Amino acid sequence: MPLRSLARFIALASVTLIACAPEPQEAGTCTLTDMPEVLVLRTLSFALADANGVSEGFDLDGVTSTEDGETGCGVADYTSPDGAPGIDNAFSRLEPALNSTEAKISVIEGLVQSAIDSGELLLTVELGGVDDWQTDQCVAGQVGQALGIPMLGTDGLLLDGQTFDRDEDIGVVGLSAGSISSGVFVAGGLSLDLPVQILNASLVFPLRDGQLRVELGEDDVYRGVLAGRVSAAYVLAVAKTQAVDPAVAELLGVVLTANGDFDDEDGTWCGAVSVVLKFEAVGAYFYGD
Amino acid sequence: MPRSPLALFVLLAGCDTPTASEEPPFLRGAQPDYSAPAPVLRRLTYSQYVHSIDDLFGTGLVLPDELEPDTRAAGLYAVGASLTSISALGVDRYESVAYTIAEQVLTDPTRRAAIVGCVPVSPADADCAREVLNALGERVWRRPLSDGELDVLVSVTTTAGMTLGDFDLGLSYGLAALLQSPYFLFRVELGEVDPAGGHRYSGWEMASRLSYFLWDGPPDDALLLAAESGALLTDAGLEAEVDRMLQDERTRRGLRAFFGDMLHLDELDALTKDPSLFVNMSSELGPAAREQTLQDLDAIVLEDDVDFRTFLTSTDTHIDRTLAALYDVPAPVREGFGLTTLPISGGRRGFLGQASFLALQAHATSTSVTLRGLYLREVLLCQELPSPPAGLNTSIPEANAERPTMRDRVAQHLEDPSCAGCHQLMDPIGLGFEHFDGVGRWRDTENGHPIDPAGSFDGDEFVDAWGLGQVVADHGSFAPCVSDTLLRSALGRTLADEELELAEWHADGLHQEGYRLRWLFRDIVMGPAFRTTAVAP
Repeated sequence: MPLRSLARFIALASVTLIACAPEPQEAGTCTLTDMPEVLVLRTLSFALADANGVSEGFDLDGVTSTEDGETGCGVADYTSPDGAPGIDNAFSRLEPALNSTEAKISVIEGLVQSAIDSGELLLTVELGGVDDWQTDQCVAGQVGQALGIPMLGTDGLLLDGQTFDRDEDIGVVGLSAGSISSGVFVAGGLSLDLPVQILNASLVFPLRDGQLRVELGEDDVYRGVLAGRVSAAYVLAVAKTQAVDPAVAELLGVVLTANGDFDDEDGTWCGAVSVVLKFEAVGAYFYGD
Repeated sequence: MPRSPLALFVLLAGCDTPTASEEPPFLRGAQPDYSAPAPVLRRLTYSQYVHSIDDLFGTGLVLPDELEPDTRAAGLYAVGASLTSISALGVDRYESVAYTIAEQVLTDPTRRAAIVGCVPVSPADADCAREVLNALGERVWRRPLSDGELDVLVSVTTTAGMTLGDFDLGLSYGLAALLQSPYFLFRVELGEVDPAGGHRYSGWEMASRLSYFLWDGPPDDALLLAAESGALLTDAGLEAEVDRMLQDERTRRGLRAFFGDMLHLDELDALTKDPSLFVNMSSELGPAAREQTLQDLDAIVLEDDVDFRTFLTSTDTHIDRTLAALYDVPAPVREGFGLTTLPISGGRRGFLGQASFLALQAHATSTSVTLRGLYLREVLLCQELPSPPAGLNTSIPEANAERPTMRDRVAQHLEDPSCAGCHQLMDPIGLGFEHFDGVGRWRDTENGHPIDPAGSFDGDEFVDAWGLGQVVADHGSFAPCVSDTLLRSALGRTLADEELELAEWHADGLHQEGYRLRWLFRDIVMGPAFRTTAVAP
């Protein structure tokens, strides 16, 4: 079914984007404690720019690009909600094209949510050494994946405080330069190969160079964003393996190429697209920790 | 960080050490004179009925979820059982299930072989029917059948067998008759003349009293043999049987039945919460909470045989994934229940930190300081509080900007003298649990405002629920309340004024023995209230 194939493919691709950012940093002096805080993502969706050019995300390349400018492949950056320029989120520009097909953003997000709810996609963030959720200059972090059948609350979302198995098949990846300021944890340097099982498709996605921001709300729900970049060529290759409708794949190739704002990791000029995902996470535990 | 630094400081300063070891040795006095009241006629509770069928015919038979409803009296189904009869609907239900059981037993070769040891030579084989019904009847009615009783049952069986042309079909009528009989559905314990003076329960009656008290089920063959031999009428013989029975797995059933009854844990099956307010609510939560409480009690009373008051103060508990998420602690096992130690920082320990108390003693949409305080006084301390006068509005004011927390609202409530008289005894205690919401999950704030759980209970100060658990455990009425409740459960009735001295004597013994409830089960059985009676009216 073309719609489901494309949606699955993009759902997978969206996960890939979680961890695309600059090169990983060397391990710092901050280390995970014996009992780190474990967060498990209970929602994951695209953070799309609004009509005023405001978008969640990060300035991944450190420059503020303008349309047809010399930086960022001539793809304009956005402004963050608090007014910071240079926010990279080229994927947001794909929204009209995608929504013109059966692979609407909402459909893709629904598939991702289903994967979370069924336990097929349980992304975890572990934070160690958090002394104060307002200010802490030394917080170690790592990203991994959990295994288990989640318990859902009456709101349909993963319950807070449940226990999972750690997915030992993927290497957890340390975040770099983690710190908390004004109640917001920020880190970068994420790079891992993430196995993802969605709708019976088992694939391994190379996640590279991600950045992450998390904030603890008064309702004990963590909210944050992930941003990075993904290779357009890789996305299209995956599309072929997932038997996406050729017409849709062709459209995808066009819009990805037109909106590439980074070189990909093979050095292809403007061969990667920046993307921002927003998420909610709740506290969790691992068996045996 | 759920618990306040002050609370943790107080804790670490040593306020939570068990008090039993600090007390001087205590020795109870001599057994008081005792004159037993008249016996009572107890109907089997639902769980006793089910356990009886399980033990008689093997587990796994399909039984209805409901028979004649049990009713509580003086806080216990065990007492209500002696004050109730059987309605017309109940008669129909008992009849229907009796035939259902008979059919299931006689059509299952293994179950049938366990009760039918002869080979019938005809559909109306009276000798075979007599052999079966004589042996089975003693187990079902928990006493030998008289010749007259047996004649009637054999007649029913052979008549039906002849009419239907099948021995087993006929036997099903005889078996159903046994199971519909008042001698099965009721515990007929009328006593007999004691050659040493007064009246006592007979050996057969003692067998039933023992088994339903300790096992929540019928006597086994060994107990019936002891009854037949007269051993249960002697101190030595009775001690030997009690000690054997307390080693038996079925004692867990008895313990569960007692505490399920005392703590109202059956009500957890109907636990209802507003799902829009309590995301942890599910149909599994109530039963899981009950299982946690009962497994903890099993460990304290039977496995470890330690001071049962740790039930209110221990951080060791048995939880599953559902409860682990509710309590925000790692699940100890992937499936079922496992032992874990709750962190001090969580502010939760003992029964008063469990959902079986916190969720049950709350409203569907909120906590209830009144229900929680009332439960402590009535169930755990056996204090009687008057019911509110008819027509009096006892509801606590709604939260608003001026009164955002429950403490604020209770303060206003207590300004009304018509409410304060009784609510002063409940609400300030219930405020100690306000860090736990209506389903038992920890909360730091209420409506965005900090929660102050501190207070005092009958003169003892507490900082929070953690400390309140210790206050209740140490309360002078707690251990005697559990002792009295166990005695009432054993006797199936309330205690007469003349029996209060004996009840105190049992409670003193419990104190003397380090508050080990296992010991108290034995002490009650060996005591005069369990073994003697007045003449039946």
